[in-house]
Amino acid sequence: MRGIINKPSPVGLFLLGFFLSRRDEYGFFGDIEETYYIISKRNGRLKSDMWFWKQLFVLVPIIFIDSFYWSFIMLKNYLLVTCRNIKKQKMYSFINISGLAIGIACCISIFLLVQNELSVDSFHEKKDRIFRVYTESIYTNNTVNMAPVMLPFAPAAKSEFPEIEEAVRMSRHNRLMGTGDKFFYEEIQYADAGFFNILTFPLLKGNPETALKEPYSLVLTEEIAQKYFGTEDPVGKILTVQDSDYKITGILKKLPLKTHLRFEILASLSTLEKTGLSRLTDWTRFSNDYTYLLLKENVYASNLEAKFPSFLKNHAGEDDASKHIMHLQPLKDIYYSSLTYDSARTGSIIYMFVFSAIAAIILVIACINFINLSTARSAGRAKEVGLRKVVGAHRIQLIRQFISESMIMSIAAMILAVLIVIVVIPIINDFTRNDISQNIFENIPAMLALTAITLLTGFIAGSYPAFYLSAFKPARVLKGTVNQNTRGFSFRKILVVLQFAISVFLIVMTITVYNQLDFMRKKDLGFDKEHIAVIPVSNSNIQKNSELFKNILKQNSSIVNVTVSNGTPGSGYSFTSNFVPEGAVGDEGIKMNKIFGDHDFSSTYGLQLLKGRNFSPEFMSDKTGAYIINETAAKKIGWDNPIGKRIRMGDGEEREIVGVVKDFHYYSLRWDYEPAVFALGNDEINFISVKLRPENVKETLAFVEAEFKRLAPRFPFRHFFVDEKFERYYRYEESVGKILIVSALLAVFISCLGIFGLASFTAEQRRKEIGIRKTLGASVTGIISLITKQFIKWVILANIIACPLAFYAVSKWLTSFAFKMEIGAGMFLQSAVIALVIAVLAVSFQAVKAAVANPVDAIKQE
Amino acid sequence: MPELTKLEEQILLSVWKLQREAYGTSIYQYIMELTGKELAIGGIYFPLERLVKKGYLEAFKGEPTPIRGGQSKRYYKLTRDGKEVLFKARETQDAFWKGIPEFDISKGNIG
Repeated sequence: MRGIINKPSPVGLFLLGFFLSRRDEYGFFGDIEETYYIISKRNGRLKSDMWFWKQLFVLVPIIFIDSFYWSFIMLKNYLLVTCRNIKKQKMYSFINISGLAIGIACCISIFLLVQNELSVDSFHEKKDRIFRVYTESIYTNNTVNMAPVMLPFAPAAKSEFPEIEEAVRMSRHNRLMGTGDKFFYEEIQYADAGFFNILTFPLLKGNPETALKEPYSLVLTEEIAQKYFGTEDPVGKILTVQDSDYKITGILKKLPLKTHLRFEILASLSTLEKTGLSRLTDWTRFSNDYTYLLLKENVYASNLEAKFPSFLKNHAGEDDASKHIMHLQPLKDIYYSSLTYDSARTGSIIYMFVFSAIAAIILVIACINFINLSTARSAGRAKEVGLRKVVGAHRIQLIRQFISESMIMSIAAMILAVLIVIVVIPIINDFTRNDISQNIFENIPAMLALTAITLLTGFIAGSYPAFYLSAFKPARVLKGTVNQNTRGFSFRKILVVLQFAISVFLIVMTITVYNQLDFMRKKDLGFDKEHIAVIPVSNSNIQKNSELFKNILKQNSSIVNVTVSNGTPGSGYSFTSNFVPEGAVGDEGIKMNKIFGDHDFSSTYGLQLLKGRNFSPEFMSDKTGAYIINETAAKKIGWDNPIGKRIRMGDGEEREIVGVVKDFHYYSLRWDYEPAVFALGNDEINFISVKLRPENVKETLAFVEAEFKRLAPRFPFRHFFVDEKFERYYRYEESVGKILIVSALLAVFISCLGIFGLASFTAEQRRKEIGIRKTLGASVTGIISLITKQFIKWVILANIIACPLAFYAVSKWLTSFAFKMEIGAGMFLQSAVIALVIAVLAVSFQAVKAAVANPVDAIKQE
Repeated sequence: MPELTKLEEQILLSVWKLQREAYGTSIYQYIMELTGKELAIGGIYFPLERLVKKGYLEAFKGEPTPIRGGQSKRYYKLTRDGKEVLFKARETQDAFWKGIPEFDISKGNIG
C-alpha cells in the first residue's frame, strides 16, 4: 500500500462532476485534485479544504456561463427535437401545454389576488405607527372584543400620554343630507381635525390641517360632490345635514379600494360637541365610535397598552375599568380582524391561504399530467435516448435535454397563461370587487413569481421523466426490448389516483358549500319573509304621522298588513338592552334584543305564538305593562312557563310577559338565535314594513312611494325586501362556492385531460393485443371494459382516499355556522358518481376508438 | 490586429516559461506566484481553450497520476503564432512606454 493521498471532499467532487461534465477533457478534475494535494502538503489539510470549497464557490458563476455556453450549442438541437415532438404528438402536447397553462394561470391569478389583499392599507405614509384602539368587554360569563371605543377616551389619552402624537375619534352616523330638492341618506363619518395627520388620504382641494377643525365642516369625495353640485366648484358651498347647514371645506381624491375604512363624507367631530352629543363625555356608552392613534417614533404599543387600565380607572371609575380593557391594534391587522360592531371592511386571511393552496394543487395536477404522459410515452423516446447514448451522450446531458424540453413546454404554457390571466383579470375584479391592474407586465413581483413558477414547474415536471428516460440501457433499448418496468407504471398509478383524489375532494367541498347555501335559503326563518317591503324612516314627519300613514296604506287592497318598528329582521338594526327578570339579585341581567313596534308586528311578519297571547288593543295596559319574549329569551332566563312572570329593562318598570313566540332569525344563519323582547311603543320608529300581495308588486310600491312623498315631500323614498336582505347575507358563501366550483371544474378538467392521454396511450400500446383479441372473437364491449376497467379502479380508489379527508374538511367548515345542514353519505356518493362518470367519458372515447378499429390494421404490420 | 487580454497574455507567457511542464495546475500556480493575487482555478480554462482555438497554444494529453485521482494532465505548448502575438503585444507596450517622459523620483512629481 502506498501513502494516503489527500483528496478533496467527495461531496464537492460529486457536485463538480454533476455540473461540469464537459470540463474533464481539459484535465480540470486532475488539476483540481493535484492542486489540492500540493496545498495540503504545503499548508495542511484545513488550508487545502478551504481552498477547495472557495474554488467551488467561485466556480458557480463560471459553471453557469459554461452550461449556458453548451446549452446554446445544444439548444438548437434540443429545440429542434422538442418542436418535432410537439408536432408529432399534437394531442399529448396540447394536453401538456394547456394543462400547465391553466395551472400557471391559476397560480398567477391567485397570486395577484393575494398580493392585492395583502397590500390593504399599505399606502398610509405613517402606517407603522398607526393603531386602532379596541375594547375588550368583560361580562359575567364571556368577553367580547369590539371595535367601538368610548368617545372621551381619545382626547384624555392624548393629553395624558406623551407617547401619543395624535388621537382621532371617528363616529359614524346615518343622516339625511342634501341641498335644494336633492336629499339622500348618507353615511357620514365625523372625525377629529387630526384625521389627515394620521391617515394618508390626499385632498384635491382644501387644507388638510384645517379642513375638519371648525364645527359644521364637510369633506366630500369627488363623486359625492358631483352628485350634489354637478360640475360646480363645491368648496365653500353649503349642504344641509338633518336640520343644520354644513360648509364644504375640502374635496377628497377617490378613495383607493385597498383600505379598511369605508367613508365618502367626512364631517368635523367638533360639530357633535356643538350639538351636545351625550356620548362625548360618557365613559360607559359605546356606539359606532372608533379611535385611531398615531404613536411617536420608537414607542412600543404594548408598553402603552399596559398603562391603559390605570388610566381608565382614573377616568371612568373602578367599576367601569374592571369591565373594559383597551387594546391597540396595528393598522395592518385591522383588515384581517374580526371584532364585533366593526364597520370596517374586512377580509379573511384563511380564505387567502385556502385559495393559494387550491392554485398550487391545480398546478400540481397539471405537473402530474406532464410526468405521466412523458413516462408513458417513454417507449417512443427510448430509441432516441439509446442512440444519443451510443453516440456518446452523458446521462447528465440527457437529463439536461429532457429538463430543457419541459422548460420549453412550460415557457410555452407561460405565454398562454399570461394571455389567460389578462383575459380573466376583469372577471376576477368584477367578482371580488377589486381593482387589480390588467397590465401585469408592470407588476414586478408578479412577473418574478411568474418566472419562478414557470421555471419550477418546468423543472419539477421535467425532472422525473428526465431521470426515468435517461436511465435506459442503450443496448437493450436498441435491441427493441423497451423495459416496461412495473415501477414506473405503479408510480403513474399513484399519481393518477392522487389527481382524482384531489378532484373528488374539491367536488365534495363544492357540493357542501352549495348544499349549505341551499339549506340556509330554504330553512324556515321563523317568520314569513316573502313580499315584505321595508321602508326606513328616520324622518320626523313620517315618524309623527305613522298611524295616519299606516291607515292610508292599509286601504289599498294590494297591501296585506303594515307595521312600524325600531328594527326588522334583515335590517341590520338591533337594539340590545339589559333585561332583569323578577327575583334576580341586584342588576344582574341578560342582554336581549328589544323590538319596539305596534300591534301588527307579529301578524305582518307571521310570527308563531307558542304560549299566551299577542298584544291586543283591547288590553289598554299592553302599551305600558306587557312584554312578549321569544323561546330563546325564555330559555336564557330559565323559565319553563314565563306567562305572567315579570321582567324589567334596565332601570325601568317591571312588565308582565303576556306571550312567547317561536324563535326567528334576525340575522344570517351563521349566527344563533338571539333572545328578543317585544314591546309596544311608537317613540323609536325606524322602519315601516309593508306586507304586499304577490300580484302587482310594482304598482303597489309606486302607490306607497306616492303616499310617502305626500307626507314627506323632501325626503328620499327607499325600501328593501326582507328576503333580498337575507339573500345578501350569503353573498360571501356564494362567492366562496363560485371559486370552489371553478377550481373543482379546472381540477377535474385537467385530471381528465391526463386520464384521456393515458387511455389513448394504453389503447395505442395494446393495439396489437386488442387486434388479436378481436380476431379471436372478443366483443366490442368486452374490449371497452378491458381498457376502462383499470381507470375505474383508480377513480374508486381515489374516492376512498379523498372521502375521509373531505369529511374532515367539510365538518370543519360547517362549524362556523350556527345552523348547518347534515353531512350525509349522499354528497359523497354524488361526487363519486360525478368523478366516475367524467372519468369514464374521458376514457371511453379512446376505448371505443380502439375497440371498433379494424383488427387487420393492427396486426398486419410486423 | 489580434488583441490579448491581460490574463491571456499571462497564460501565454507562463506556458512559454514552464516549457514542458505547462498544464492546468502549474500554470495556475505560476500566475498566482508572479501576480501575488488569488485566482479562481476554474477561471483559467476558458482563456486556455480560447487560446487553443485561436491557434496560439497547442494542447496534448499527458499521463495519468494517482495524485490527480487517476486523471491525465492536459499539457499546453506555445505555437509560432503564440510567440508572434506575444512579441507584438510587447512591441505595442514598449511603444507606449517610449512616449512617456522620464520622471524624477527625488522631486516627487511626475512629468
